[in-house]
Amino acid sequence: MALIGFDAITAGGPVGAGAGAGGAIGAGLGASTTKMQVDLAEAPKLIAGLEAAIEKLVEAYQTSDDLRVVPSPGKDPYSDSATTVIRQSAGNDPGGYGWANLKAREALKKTIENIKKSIADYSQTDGSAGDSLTPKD
Amino acid sequence: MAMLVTVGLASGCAAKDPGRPSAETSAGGATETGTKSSSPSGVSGPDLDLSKFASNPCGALTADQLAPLGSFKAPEPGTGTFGPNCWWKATKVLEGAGYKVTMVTNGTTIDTFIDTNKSLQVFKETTVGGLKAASWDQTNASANCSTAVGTSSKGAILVQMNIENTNAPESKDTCAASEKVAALVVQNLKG
Repeated sequence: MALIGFDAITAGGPVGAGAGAGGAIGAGLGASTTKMQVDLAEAPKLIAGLEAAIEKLVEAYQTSDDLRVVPSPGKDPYSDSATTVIRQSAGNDPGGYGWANLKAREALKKTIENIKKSIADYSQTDGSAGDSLTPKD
Repeated sequence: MAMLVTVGLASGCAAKDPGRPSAETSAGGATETGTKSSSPSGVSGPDLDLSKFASNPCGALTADQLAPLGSFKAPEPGTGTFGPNCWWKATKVLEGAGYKVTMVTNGTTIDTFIDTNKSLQVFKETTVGGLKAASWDQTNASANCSTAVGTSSKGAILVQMNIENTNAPESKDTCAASEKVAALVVQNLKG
């Protein structure tokens, strides 16, 4: 088993208002990294899983976009107010769902990039080590 | 946030400029057929019958039309907030664009889409296939854009696109990409 290391990108702390919807996915003002390792043979499965997660986030983003368009259920001020809050939570303000969703997708893409780079680095190092052990004529 | 706004403005999809109407662009140009609408929603032209694809939303785009748009997984039919939809996911999510097409059959009109989205940073009114339309994104249009086209006083179609690859041509103007697909669907509704 050959372990390779990579930096997993994670979001920072939640931001204030509106973090309710976005915070679930990890709304943060700044990304941070966590050192992780994976078996080289399992790395492609990890990448496939992260790509599937991105697809799910895209689906959720589109659903949140739909939610913003749903009209207020009534003419009373409470319905209007609730609708406004839902739209803000689903939308693009920092901490809003749309914003957090994009941040999460960016983090996953960067993590995949880091895993691929680590695989490439390992292959290169392994190849060089092999070459150095090959008897020269 | 400032960074996101800057990116949004830099993208080809017209960012909203308060007090300054966006220039209209036209996508598609299919021949109009059907009956004339007297729609209060302001949709000019014929009513388009969404029932044509409501029971088979994945029939809204043909294989020939999809081929130049990229490589897709098997289309996934579904039902969402607005009505039946079909999602063409990119074969490789990190490389190509994906498109979800919805037949808006729940009564939501193009004017509702416009009213709800006109305050977004990325929003423009336009025409697609000669029909009233609008494109928007709730963030910066760097990876997503939605286009709705009014098909009658009671219905619309909605195309939502996504692209994760910033080097892909669609990424330069995500709203142009969603409008292009919307024009194809309109063309098929008319044909």
